[in-house]
Amino acid sequence: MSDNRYVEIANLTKAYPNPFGQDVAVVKDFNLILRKGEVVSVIGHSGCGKSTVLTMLAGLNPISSGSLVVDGREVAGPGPDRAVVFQAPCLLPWMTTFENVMLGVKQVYPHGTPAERRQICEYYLSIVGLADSMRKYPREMSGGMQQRVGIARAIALRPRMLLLDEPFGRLDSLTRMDLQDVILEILDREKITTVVITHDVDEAIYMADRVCMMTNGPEASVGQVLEIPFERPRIRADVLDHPNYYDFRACLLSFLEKQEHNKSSHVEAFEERQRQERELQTSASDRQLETEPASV
Amino acid sequence: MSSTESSAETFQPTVGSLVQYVELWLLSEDESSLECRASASVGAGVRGADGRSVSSGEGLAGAAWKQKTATILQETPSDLMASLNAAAAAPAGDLSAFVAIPLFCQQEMRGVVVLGLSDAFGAIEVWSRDDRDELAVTSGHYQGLPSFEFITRYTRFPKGAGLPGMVWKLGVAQLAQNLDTSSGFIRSFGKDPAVITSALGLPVASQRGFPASVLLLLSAQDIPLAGLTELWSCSSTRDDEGSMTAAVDSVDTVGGSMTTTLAGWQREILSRVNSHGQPLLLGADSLSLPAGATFSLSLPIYRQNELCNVLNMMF
Ligand SMILES: Nc1ncnc2c1ncn2[C@@H]1O[C@H](COP(=O)(O)OP(=O)(O)OP(=O)(O)O)[C@@H](O)[C@H]1O
Ligand SMILES: [Mg+2]
Repeated sequence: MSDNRYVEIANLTKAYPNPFGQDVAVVKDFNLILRKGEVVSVIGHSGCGKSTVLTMLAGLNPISSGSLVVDGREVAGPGPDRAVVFQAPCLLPWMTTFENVMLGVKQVYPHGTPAERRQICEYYLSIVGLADSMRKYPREMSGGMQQRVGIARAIALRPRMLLLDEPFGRLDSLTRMDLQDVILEILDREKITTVVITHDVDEAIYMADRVCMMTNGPEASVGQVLEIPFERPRIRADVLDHPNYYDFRACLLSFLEKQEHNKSSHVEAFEERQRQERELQTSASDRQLETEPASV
Repeated sequence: MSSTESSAETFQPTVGSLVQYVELWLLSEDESSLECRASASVGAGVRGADGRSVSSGEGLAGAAWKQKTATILQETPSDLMASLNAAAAAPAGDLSAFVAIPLFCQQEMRGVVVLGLSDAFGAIEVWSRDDRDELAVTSGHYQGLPSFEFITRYTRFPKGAGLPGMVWKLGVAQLAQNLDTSSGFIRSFGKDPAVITSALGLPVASQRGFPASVLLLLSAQDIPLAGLTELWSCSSTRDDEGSMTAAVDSVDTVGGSMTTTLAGWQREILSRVNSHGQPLLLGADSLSLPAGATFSLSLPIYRQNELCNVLNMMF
């Protein structure tokens, strides 16, 4: 398996039926290839289908057509090789931080000794800065701390892929920056192939080796991919000071603006096509009715 | 009355077009070399064969032939300017870059067209597939587009993305207009002196229906590619003896609209393309061009072995 094509998303399509029973492809012919260890951020307007792509990659959402291959294997369902972190961490409230992380570790290291498993949990919790909060319950922690637990839980699985869906969307900007650095540090060390969805263009640039810009739905797909050439490990001040930082930023913002500007015409054109399709079908079935003898 | 005919009737020669000079190179009889069969300059009209000939890999036309990809030269060969001046055939505007476009029908080379560009605002780009099967610019020429050029270096298009990705996916040429406002044109962000309004994407050297590379010609509203640029969409039918004949399904005009009715000169070009499948460079003496036009250049574009487009530029 080539490391150049570690994750291959080919013609990925997801369709849901509309109230008329027609298939509406939310995402259509989405193509993207990730190298091993690469971090790709995905930006696009709300509702375009970012989470749909991510949950399909996670194996949580069946695909309608196309293919999804991770490390040479077709994605067939969820698995510990692809860890997901959502906006809210969904911790079990009756378990401590440590126990929440241990839950996954037990599954992934069934043959490890209790001491080994404990070490793994402690190691990843300390990496996310929770060495002192391992015995705390979720209700005793802030949103940012809970999200740290979610991150530790995901990384402790030693996944092939890390899938992050707006992981910092609910956090204040300081906590957000803290956690971006926590994740970047982990990724620098563990080189996990990562997809991170975000609405924040600065976050998209700072975190990623490349930014995938999604077009508006329906039939959303990749509009453009932008390579981010900044060195790793990333130092925030250096990135922000880079003479081309604002060119990359302007490029992403301009993409989003143009998508927004053409949103209604895109949707109208799509709905018109669907209406015509319905009319064709109705007239075809009318003709069929005319020629068929009435049954009694 | 179709608007093709009306646009042709109102043809205004544009001295300030991006393309200022054209050469037509066809294979010699024994197919061992390319011969320059005709050239033309805006303002000076068409000249016949000038005796130049190159082997594969030699000169700009020979390089495009050998590499099977559009090839850009960002300077003007001094001997070329000298010979054009001597023959009083130099174009009205200065030339700043050249692009040689090889035309293939499957593996068969049908000719090379060289375009000489003025130093006006605009760009040409060659997009090639990289090691992860995305399109990246492998060579480009830009005028008045510094931030566009910068961002392009970092831009990749997977299959189906952007204009280059669409040309790759569909295997046919694409014309995109009103780019300054459309969501399709996503590399510009308003900082450049030039505003690109139309882009023409051409598949080059198709293999199994997919182009090996994509050539983009990008131009601004007030400096169009040519006096009149049309992209014809064609489809072919096979007769009883198995030979293909193409018909034009629609004509998309830069700055104009889509039509289906052909004027006399367009029918003439189609019949010539159907009979030998080579690019054409014809002056007003050999083709009944609309009043005001001095010459016309036609590039036949094939997918597999079927004619899918003709790019037609009039000056
Ligand atoms: N089960 C479903 N049935 C029908 N449509 C659905 C279903 N799930 C999602 N959709 C539609 O799919 C589209 C994409 O949703 P998705 O959640 O992937 O968007 P998103 O880009 O993640 O948006 P956001 O940025 O707001 O999180 C939306 O228009 C949504 O309405
Ligand atoms: Mg979402």
